[in-house]
Amino acid sequence: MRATRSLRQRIGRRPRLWGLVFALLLLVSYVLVIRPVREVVAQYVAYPIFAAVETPRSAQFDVVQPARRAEAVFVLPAGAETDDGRVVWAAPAGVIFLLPAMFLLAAFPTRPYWIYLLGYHAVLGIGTIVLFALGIGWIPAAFDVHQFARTYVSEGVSLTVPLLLFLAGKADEIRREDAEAEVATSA
Amino acid sequence: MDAARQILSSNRTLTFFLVKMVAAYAVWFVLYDLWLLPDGRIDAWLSHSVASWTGGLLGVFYETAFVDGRTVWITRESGILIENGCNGLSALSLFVGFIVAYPGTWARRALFIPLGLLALVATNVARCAILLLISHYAPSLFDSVHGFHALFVFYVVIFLLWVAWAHYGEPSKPSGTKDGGVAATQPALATA
Repeated sequence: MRATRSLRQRIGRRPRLWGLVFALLLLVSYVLVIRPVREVVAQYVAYPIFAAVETPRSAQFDVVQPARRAEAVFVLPAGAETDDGRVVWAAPAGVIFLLPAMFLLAAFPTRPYWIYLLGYHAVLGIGTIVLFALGIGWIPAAFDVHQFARTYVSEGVSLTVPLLLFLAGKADEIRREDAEAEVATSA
Repeated sequence: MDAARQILSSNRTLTFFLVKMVAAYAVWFVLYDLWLLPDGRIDAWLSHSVASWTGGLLGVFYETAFVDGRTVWITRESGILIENGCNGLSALSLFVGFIVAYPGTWARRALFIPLGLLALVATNVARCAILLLISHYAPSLFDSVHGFHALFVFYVVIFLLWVAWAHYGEPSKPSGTKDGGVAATQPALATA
């Protein structure tokens, strides 16, 4: 507890520097840990689920693990020679997690916002697995909803929430500076 | 920037804002999926335009650059095809959705949205030109740059445009304006 407080104080003295250090550490951990985990999720969680869906509708598709994108699963029309017309499922927490998370760490090094963002992406990832499986086996429109969740819901929220936090922090900063200036003037 | 504080002031206001934004995206998505995508004209126009502008940009530096429909060539051996997914339409709609949802006047939106769209299209043209150069000079790097770095650039530009909108779009309040209490007691923020 005491060590945590002292660490917080140390970070509080040079927040910009520590923020950049943490953001770089996240980048390194993304390459070394998160990216491999995404590949494992795609290959050992998502792919087996999608491949296990057996319905009259699923017979129209081949579920494929693309050689060049280990973090993704493709659904192709059955017997297709090329991957034209593919529908793509990609593991969550890709670039659209990394960029805002680095920003959040750089701007708020003592706050766990980036972990919340990771949690959001993980939950959204589970949702996209369910939607994709529904699309393969039962409901054609589930592919559209999955596409919407993967693009707009994921990207929009991931970029917006850090922006709002940043703007609110900026407004607080300006408010504090103005209050200090006012005190200095009246003194 | 005060609007951001108000949006974040409670879970309810934040949820309301996010729902409004996602609803704007949903309207666009349905419109696109049901009518614009099957019709194909807007994607075709944008893809051809991006290809044409990319060709024009590269033509300044390479006499051999030319455009053939959606394909831009730097030489007869190296070219890139601007598919629907590469024309930047989804980035444009991502940008507009936030501007529509975030507080601001419609008059300023009417000015800011076209400028932002132009900035994003220019970014996409630069991205396509760089990708074409990479495919010509360092083809082994093409996939990683196409899938990772290029997205990075798009997101950064959208983010910066949103920051600009938060500064520009929010109407400045006259001193002493009552604004949910907080701003009213701190009139100095009206200049922010």
